[in-house]
Amino acid sequence: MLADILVFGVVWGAIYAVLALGFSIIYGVARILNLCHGALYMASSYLIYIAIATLHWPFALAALAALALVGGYGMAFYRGVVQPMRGSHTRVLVASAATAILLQEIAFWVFGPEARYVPSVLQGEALVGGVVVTYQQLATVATALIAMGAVWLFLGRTRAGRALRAVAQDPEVAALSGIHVEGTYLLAMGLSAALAAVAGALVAPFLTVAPDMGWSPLLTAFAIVVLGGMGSIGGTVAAAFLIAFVEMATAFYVAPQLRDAATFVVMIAALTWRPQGLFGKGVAA
Amino acid sequence: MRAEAGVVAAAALLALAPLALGNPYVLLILILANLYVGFAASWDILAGYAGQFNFGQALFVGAGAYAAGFLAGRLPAVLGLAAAALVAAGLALLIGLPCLRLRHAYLSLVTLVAPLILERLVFTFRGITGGEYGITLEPFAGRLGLFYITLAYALGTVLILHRLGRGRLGLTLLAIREDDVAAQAAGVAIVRYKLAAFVLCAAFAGVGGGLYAHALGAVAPVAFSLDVSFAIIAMGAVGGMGTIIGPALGAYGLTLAGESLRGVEHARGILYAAILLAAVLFLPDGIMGALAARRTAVQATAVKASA
Repeated sequence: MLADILVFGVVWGAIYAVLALGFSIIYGVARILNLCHGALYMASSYLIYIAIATLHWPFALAALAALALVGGYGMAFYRGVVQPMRGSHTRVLVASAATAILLQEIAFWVFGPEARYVPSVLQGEALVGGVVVTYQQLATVATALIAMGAVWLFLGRTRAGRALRAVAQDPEVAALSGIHVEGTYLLAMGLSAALAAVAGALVAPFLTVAPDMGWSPLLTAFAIVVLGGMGSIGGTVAAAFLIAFVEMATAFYVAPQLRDAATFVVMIAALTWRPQGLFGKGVAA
Repeated sequence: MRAEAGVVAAAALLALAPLALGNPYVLLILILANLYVGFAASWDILAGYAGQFNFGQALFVGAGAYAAGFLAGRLPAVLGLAAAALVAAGLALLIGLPCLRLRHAYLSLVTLVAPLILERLVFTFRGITGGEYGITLEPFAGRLGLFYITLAYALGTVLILHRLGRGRLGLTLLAIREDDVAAQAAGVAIVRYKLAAFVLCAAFAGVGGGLYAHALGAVAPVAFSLDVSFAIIAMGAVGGMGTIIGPALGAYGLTLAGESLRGVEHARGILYAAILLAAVLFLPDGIMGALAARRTAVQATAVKASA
């Protein structure tokens, strides 16, 4: 039981970290609380399902296509919907929520409420420190780590990544130093959506794909960002694993369907006692 | 004043509707429309006036419905409805205390997921809640009676909240929405005002939720669904936030429009989401806002012509 919690906690922690990183980037850079982040994750899973079940593409190709499509959709969403209403946080919030519902209802309409399955990519299992771990789980964690490493390198080592961080700190000063702020927002939205797509690709072989699968990960991503502190990458990753372990412990010891309730309780507690996050630097009260 | 007179006149006209429409099915739709008027108007006192966007009005509708459902047959209906209001208000305090102290959209996200959590709890504790089958109850009045009771609920909610909105509470909430730092500097206890608005919003929706349980003769977990929350938001956004009357109009319009799509699977969800998106994109102040803008424009031209 403890071994299960450990293995599943690491796997889910890695997936959550990727998802929450995307959610946190667009909030940190553009102050957009993107309520359709979970729907993008859902869309990615469905795209992979279509590519594999009907087009018979290999998984890697399907995942890359989903990444490109969802990332592109994120940028189009920014240009078409968010940019015209940037002045009002509330309108952006509502528009992102309406988009989430729209995507979900379209998925219901096209695929029906019944769950779909994406077959596992890798078969077999290994023994890691006396605990049985499937190759699929190992590959998931490895892919998540690669994705996070790539984001970390991008933010730290590239010009565009540094521009992103500069805008996150102060858009006006960034603009004065010659950074194209709107372009940076667009890039951040694309990156954020692409990370949602990666998370969607990671869970597709584990979970059933369903139209409403995006809501509880959205809650989890938000709880992680609250707990880890807005705009702190290290905090986000640490909080992702913390939340994943709490969820798995709840699922195994209490009841599987109370996973989200546990996350919710952790989030409310964090908002009450440490709204700046465990690792964050303050978000105003 | 004129707006309130208009509301009373509209309610009086609606009160005559059962004379023309004997059909019990149509009557049920009108009952639902009445209830949604209450849900949307109460949602507006927080979202429209205080600028705190609540994505989960279904939380209070559902909580009120379950509270009234439990107590139906055990206590008089009035006490059941009072309990519905209390339970909803208690939930609002529980969520509002941590979230409304903070800036940013914390309340929005928490209210978005809270109904889903409650729905999950309903399925977990099926011994008490009946799980997906819910609770059935004996309505305290017949359908015609319920029509008039829900009409009175809708009218009362709109009039009370409209009055509060134009009074000290509403003006203070508007000041907080426009500039909370300035409001705080002027000595307004902003957290207390936002909490008061949230509790009001919840209590009125809770009573409506209780009536909803009686109108359907049953409570089911769908009362907590996102569809309910988003229908209410779409009504508010289309009608015009911060006007109370706008969301009430939106509630009648969208309930009737949605009802004509019943049977077309998911068409209603798509309709509400698309309407909401279109309203945010093209009609940010809703119908009431567009009307007010036109009135000012007409007045401006009139002033110019007379000068």
